[in-house]
Formats: sequence, structure tokens, C-alpha cells
Amino acid sequence: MTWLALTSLLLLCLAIGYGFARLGNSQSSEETLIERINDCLPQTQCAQCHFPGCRPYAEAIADGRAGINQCPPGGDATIHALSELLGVEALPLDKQFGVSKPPLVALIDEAVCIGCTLCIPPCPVDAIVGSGKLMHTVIAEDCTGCELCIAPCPVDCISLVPATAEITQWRPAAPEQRS
Amino acid sequence: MIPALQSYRQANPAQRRDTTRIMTRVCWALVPGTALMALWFGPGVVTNGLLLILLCVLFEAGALLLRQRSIRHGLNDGSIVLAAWLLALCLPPAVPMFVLVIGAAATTLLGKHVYGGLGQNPFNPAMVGYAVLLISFPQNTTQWIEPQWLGGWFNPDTWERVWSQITASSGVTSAWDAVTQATPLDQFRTATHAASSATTSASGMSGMSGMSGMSGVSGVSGVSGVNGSNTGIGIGSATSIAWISLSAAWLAGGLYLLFVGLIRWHLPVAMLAAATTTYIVYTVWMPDITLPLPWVLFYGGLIFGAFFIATDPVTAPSSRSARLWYGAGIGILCVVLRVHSNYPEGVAFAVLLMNACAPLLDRVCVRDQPQ
Amino acid sequence: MKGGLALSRPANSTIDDQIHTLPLQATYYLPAVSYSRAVLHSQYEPGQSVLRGESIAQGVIAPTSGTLRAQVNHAWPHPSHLEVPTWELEADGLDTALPLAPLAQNVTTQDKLSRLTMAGVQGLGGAGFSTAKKIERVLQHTERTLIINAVECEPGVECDRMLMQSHASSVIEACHALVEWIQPTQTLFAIEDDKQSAIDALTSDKTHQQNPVLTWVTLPAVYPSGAESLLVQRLTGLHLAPNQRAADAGVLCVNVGTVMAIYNALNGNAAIDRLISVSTQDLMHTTTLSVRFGTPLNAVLKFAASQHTGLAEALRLNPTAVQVGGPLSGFSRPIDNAPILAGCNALLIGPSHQSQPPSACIRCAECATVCPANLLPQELYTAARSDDHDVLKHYRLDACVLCGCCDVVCPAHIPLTQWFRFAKGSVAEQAQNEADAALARTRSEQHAARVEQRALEKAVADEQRRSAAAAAKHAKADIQAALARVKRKKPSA
Repeated sequence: MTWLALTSLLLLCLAIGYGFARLGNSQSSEETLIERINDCLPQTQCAQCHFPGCRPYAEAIADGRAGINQCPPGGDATIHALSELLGVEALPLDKQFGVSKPPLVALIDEAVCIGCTLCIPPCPVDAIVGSGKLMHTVIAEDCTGCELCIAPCPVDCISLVPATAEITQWRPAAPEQRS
Repeated sequence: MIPALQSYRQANPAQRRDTTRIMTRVCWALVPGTALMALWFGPGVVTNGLLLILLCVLFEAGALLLRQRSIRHGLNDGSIVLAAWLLALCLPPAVPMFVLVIGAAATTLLGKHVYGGLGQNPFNPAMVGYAVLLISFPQNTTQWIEPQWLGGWFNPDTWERVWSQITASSGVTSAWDAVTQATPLDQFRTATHAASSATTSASGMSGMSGMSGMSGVSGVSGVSGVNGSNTGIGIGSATSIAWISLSAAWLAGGLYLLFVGLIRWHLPVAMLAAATTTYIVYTVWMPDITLPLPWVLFYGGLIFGAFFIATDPVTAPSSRSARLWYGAGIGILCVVLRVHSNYPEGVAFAVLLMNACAPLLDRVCVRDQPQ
Repeated sequence: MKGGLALSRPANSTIDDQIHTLPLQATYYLPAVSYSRAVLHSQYEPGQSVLRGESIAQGVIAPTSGTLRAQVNHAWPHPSHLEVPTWELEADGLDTALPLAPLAQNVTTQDKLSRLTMAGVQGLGGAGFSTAKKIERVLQHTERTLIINAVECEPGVECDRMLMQSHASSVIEACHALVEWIQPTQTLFAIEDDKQSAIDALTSDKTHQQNPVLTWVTLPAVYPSGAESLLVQRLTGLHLAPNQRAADAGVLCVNVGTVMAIYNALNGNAAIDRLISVSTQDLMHTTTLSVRFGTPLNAVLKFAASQHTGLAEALRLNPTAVQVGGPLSGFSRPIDNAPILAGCNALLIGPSHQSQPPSACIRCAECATVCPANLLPQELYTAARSDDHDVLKHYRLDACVLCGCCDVVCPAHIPLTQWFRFAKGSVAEQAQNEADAALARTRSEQHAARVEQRALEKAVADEQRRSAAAAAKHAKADIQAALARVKRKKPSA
């Protein structure tokens, strides 16, 4: 009787353990970890995290060189996703790297632009088109609002505007919750 | 309310519902059984009920106050009255006051508010309260009195005894010495254990041997396989008539709930069918504990549990197939606990165990449709 | 269909059995925003005059001839209650139509589709999806099914019934024309059994009797039988995958009003109007109006009141609020000059009912019983509250048609449908963010690769230049050496 009980308990433990093992993701190589961290990041490539882009930041997180709360564009959602992925505590966004803002895109004031091409190389997603002495413009769909083009502009003709119209951003609100 | 919906609700009376009305209707369904119980077991049943309702409402109001919720809104749904009533029906008549206080606290706070109030509790609050009392005060929660028609309602002595019992400060009192009696199941169980203590499988798995002789929700399984006359609960005795008539009253209440559409047949039917099947398997396996089938269903809390406890929507799964599995699980566990555990009745623990499985069942039994 | 609600009108309610046409208005408002909330652009300039039926932007058709004014922010009949950029069209009172010839029998499919686009034909069932795009998708399949949806299951919405009843022969002709174009293997005409007058009118039509290509499917009047995904699934047994439309599976499901609009467009009449049921909130009085798109809401209600005393009385008592859409699917908005658009099938005078304050969900699963999509709304509700997208997906939020049946039966008065709307918005927003991130990621990787490539090329070029310079230096040195040798040799010579 005792043996029966012990054996069945053992089998139960094995079965449950097997289940958890199946549930847990077996991928653990460093390459995939960096990829999965990178998947959580908003890909604005804005370098506000003090790394030159989202992937370098992902590498730094994987190496333990950076915290998970250095991404202002991602905000709480990214921090939450990273804390879930890495099993670490979700810290509030570190304000020294910036604050979360609604999605923005760059807009070139075409009347002011002198066609200097200085803003084109810094753009991480090649969203600015233009040529020397010719007016430049931003492809709004491709722009991530990283602000990297603002500093190089000698005539300050680039500004940030809301990414989409108010009506496009609208979504149904959650019902009011009783306290 | 827009008239299109009004006409719909008029055409479908079952749909004219809100939470308060649901709870009220379930309470109505409890009335016949409760009245019968009071007639058999005396005024102690009523005092239990009233005191528990009062205590639970007080605890509920306190909890709502601490949680900064609207007390009026929280009490208005009637769920706490129902939980208190259900707990009262599980207890023997005239339980000491301090036991009731602890039961009410466990039901309201441990069973409900620690999880976030109505709708959030994974376990049936009444059964949480009952399980706490069963483990903490085995004697007070299992000592039933011998049923007696109109059980001394007109006898001043009875009222005095009820009073002294309720105000008792210690768990064990002798006020009822002359008349205490275990439930039929309990007696049956004691008899069985005595008769077949050699049977290894019946000797229980836990170390709670000191508690044998307790009863559970209210006695259930059947009697005549074991020497009914020895235990004083043979068919035809006042005890058996009392318990069987009670089960019949619960069944009537349950059928009313089914009729008005507040519960669906899946869960009680699955539970009773599974209990019956399991019992048949046991009779083949261990013939010496056999009881005739009807008594399996009618003694004890199986029917009460199937219609009033297991069907608690908050803690039961919500899809139809999941309810079938859930009911079957309770039915099987209930009989297994009756046979193997040191408690004669297993409804409460079976319900609590399956409560824990309900979210999983719901998750697994998502309705069949190609994804 | 499992679930749903058998809703009906009040027993003694009256329906005006006539279609009243709204007179020409002075001003029409044409939002420069599509139903899917994309901002539309147009090459038309303010001050330009347009003719009736002229396409101002994608899906925006001038409802009459007149002058376009500059875009202003204007009220828009949408649950968001936001104002959107809107063209004002000042009518010139002449109502001159753009000459559009009827298409000949032998024109190509492409011509027909571009005609539908130009004439602004869009689904009148509510979603406002472009009909040309829908038909284009269906035509890619060889096996096609045509479902004509005349199941306007919501009480208080009578416009389809009125259309079939009063224009039976045109409806049949339009159906036949569509059948001839689409060439489906099967044509189902789905209608509810409470529209007997419409069924009688259609089946007694001569054209139909001579050439019965339509298969009648009479469904019990249960809300929401007319929801496209549910109807398609019910009639064809087809289970649509998440985000799959019936058109992608070769099933063309069109509202009967849309069938008429297609027919009219092919015959040279642009889609500029629709039928609208105007009722009191208690559904006691209903009348049907033919309204041009862009007509201000207040003008429609005023006209309805002038046609029907019951409606006039209701409007007098409730001069501020109206419900746009049916009793379950609609939303309340103030009575102003927001325009009537293609998706608006009904107006209910009076404020929508105030729901009781919600209490906690007790998981009674009554919502699951009435859910026509066979979902578990109580599980979706908890998932929506915690905004857990994985669980929402597990319980198939995408299959929810937002019919509102669960709201009706919920004993705790929880606004379930509003939660599901919110959750759908949240899921869509996340999907959009992920798509944006994926695009940005690809582009940044390409950018990085190009920068690297350029650096590499530069390095190679530098190397070449350096080695060339070194070689030149060598050559120079060689020459110098040779000269030196010569020099050295000379004196010795």
C-alpha cells in the first residue's frame, strides 16, 4: 500500500514536471534571447537608451550591461514585456533617459529647408528623401519619431507632429469602473 | 429599458433577472427544506440561520467598509445572506455562538473578501466556512440531535437548552447528552469501520483517527447493508424519515431552480450520476460496505450539494461541457471521501477540491470551433 | 445559429407603409474620413462646383450639384463623438446629375468594378466596406456563393423590408443582374420569417417566376441572424478564420440595399442615398425615409416629424438626443447637423436607456447561452478587464460580432459589449504598433547594412587608392633610382 502510494505520487510529480518542462520555452541560446528582447522594443532606433539603436540595447540587456527601464518610447508596455520575458522586476521608467510621449513623426518645413542633406544620414530608417540643394521631405509612414534628424538641421526646419490624426488614434474607451 | 427588450423579457421570464433577484429566488428554493429541517430538529435550526445571517451581514458590511466599497450596493445583491443560509443548513442545531462567529468570519472574509468580493472567490464561501468549522470544531459541527417531529418547539425546556447551547463558552457542552445522535451516514460509517476494520482500503489514509465519528454536510449514503437496526437508523425510523424527507425537500427546491432556469441540468445530473456510478463500483469492489443505492443519494448532503452548493455559479465552471466534468468530479470525490476519509460525508471537501479545478476546466473546455 | 434573442416590436406598434423622400437640402456635409477612420484626400479645390454623382474622394460622392466649400471640422455620426474634417457642399438647387452612361452588357469586370468605385457603392448593412473591393476578392475564386442579406434582424430597422416591399420588381431585377455578373454556383436570398409582406411581393414578381435563380432561405426572426459572419457560417457551413472575411472564401454576402446600389451604379446612377427607418425609442411609431448621404441629422428628424404625428410628439419631448442605429447596435448622440452616412440604417428618437450601475460578475454564464458566436463572454470580460491579449485570443475575441445580446441578459448589468469594443481596439492598437515596429526594424537593418556596405566599399576604395599611391610612389622611386643610376653612371662614363 505504502509503495503504491509512493509510486503514484512519484509518477504524478514526473507528469507535472514534464508538463511544466513542455510549457517552458526550451530556446535558451544567447542569440535567440537577444532577438526576443529586441522583439519587445519599439524599434524607434532613437538611441535615448544611450545605445546606438534597439538591437545594441537588446544586446546590452542580454549581457546585463543595461536595465530594462531605459526605453522612453516603449514606456510601461515595453518594461512590462521585458520583465515578463526576463523574469525580473518591472521598474518604472528611468527619467534620466527621457519620458514617454505619444507617437510623433518628424515634419520638414519645406519652405525653410535649404537642401543641405545633413539630416539624411542620421535617419536610422531612411525615412527622409531629398538631395543636395533640393527640398527634403519625411515619409511619415516610415518615420519612427526618433528625433535624430533634429539636431543636425542647420536651419531648424524639422519639427515633431502627432503621428496620426486624432480620429485615427481614437479607440473605444473601457467602461467606467466602480470603485 | 427599451421596449424591444422589454417584450423579450416578458416572453422569457427566466431572463427577467438581476443578481439580487437570482439570490432571492435561490433563498426561496431553500425555504421548504429549511422549514422541514426546523420541524424535525427544533428551534436551533432557526437560531443558527438567523444568527449566521446577522453575523455574516455584519462581517460583510465591515469588509466592504474597509475595502471602501459601497455597503448598500454590496449588501443589496443578497449573496452574503445566501452564503450564510447555506452554511447554517450544514450545521447541527444550536451551535455555540463563538463557533458561529468563526464560521461567519471564515465564510465572509476567508471565503469571499480576501479574493476581492463577490464574483472573485475561487472557492464556495459557505463551504470554506464549513470546512474551517469542521476541522476546528469537529464535535460542535457533527453532533446532531435525534430528529423529532416538531422537535420540542412548544417545550420551554428546549428553548432554554438552545439558549444555554448558544451561549456556551466552550466547545463541548453536555446540555444535549441525552439526545445527541450522529447523522445516519456517520453512524453507518462508524458501524462499517467497526465491522470491517480489517479492510485495509477502508481504514482511511489520514491520521485523523481521533475524529472518526463526525459527520459532514448532513449525512448521506445509505444504511441497510450494514445492520440498520443496530445503528438505530433503519428504514422507517424517525431518523431515516427525517433525512429522506429533507433530501426530498432539497430536491423539490432544486427542481424549482431548474424550472425557473436559474441552474442548468448538466451539473446536478452529472454529479448524481457520477456518485451513483462510483458507488456501484465500490459495492462490487468492497461488498461489505454496501448500502442500497437510494440511500446513497438520499442520506446526507448529496442532493443538497448537487442543487445548491455545486451550482454556485461563481465557483463552478461556466461552459456546459466543463460543468459536466465538474459535476462528475464532485460526485466521484464525494463517494471516495465518504468511503476512504475519516469524515463520513465528503460533499464539502469534494466541492472545494473541484472548485480549485474549475478555472482549468473552463480553460480546457473552450467550445469546439475551428480556430 | 445558437443563442441570439427573439426580439419583437411592441404588439400595438404602427409602421408607416410608405417611403418618404426628403426634399433637397441647402447644405450637405461630406466627411473627409472613411468609415475605417482613414483621412481622405481630394484634388478638388474649395469653390469648385460639382455635379450630383461626382466622386470627390474615395467613396465620397456629391449628393447633389453645387459648390464645394473649404474643409471645416464638423460633427460626425460616430461613437467617438469627435469632429472630423468635412467638406461642405452648398446645393445650387438644380440637382444636375453627372452624365454616367449605363454600362453595356459586354464591358469587362474591371470596368464594372471601377464604375462601382466611382459611383461610391459601399455596404449599406453597417460596416461601409467598399463593395467593389469585396466583389473583386470574390471573383478571384472559381467556386462562388452569393448570399443576399435581407435579414435586418434588429427591431426598429425596417428599411430593407420597405425596399423589398415597395420596389419588388427592381430588387428582383437587381438580384438577377448581380447573379449574371458574379455567376455564383448558388444564390441564397436570406430573409426573416417576420417579413411576410416582402416575401410575398418578391415571390409574386413575374421575372422571378420566369427565372427562379434565387433560392429562398427563410430564417426565424432572431437577433443577430443578419450579422455577416454568422449568416455566412449558418448558410454555408463555412468557418471563417480570425480576420478572414467571407469574400476571401469566395462567398459574396451583400445587403439587399447594396444589391440595388450596385444595379443603379451599373445603370449610371451613383450611390447617393439610402433608406432609413425613423422610430420612437419605444418603437411604437416607425416611418421610412429616403435620405441622401450628407443630409444633416436635424433636417432628417424634422422632416420625419412632419410626416408622422407620433414621431413629432416624440421629438417634441426629446429635442436633444437621438440614437443612431438600432436599439442594440446604435449609439446615442445629440441632435445636430452631423451628416447621415451609408452605415446608418435607423434613427431612434429619444435618449437610449440608462443602464443600471453594474455589479460584480457572478459567472452565471447566461451571456454564453445567448452568444450567437458561441463564445464565453464571461471569460472574455475578465480578460478584457485585465487587457490580457493572449487570453482574449484564446477565447476568440475576434469572433465577437458586438451584437449586444450579452448586455441584455446580464443580471449584473455589466456593459459587456463596451468592454469587448475596448478590447478589440486594444488588440488592434497593439497589432498596429507591432507592424510599425517590424517595419522600422526592417528599415533600420537595411539602413545599417547599407551604411556598413558603404563603409566597406569606402575601405576597399581607400585601400585601392593607397596601394595605387604606394605603387606610384614606388614607380617614382624606381624612376629616381634609375635616374640616379644614370647620373652615377654618367660621370663615370
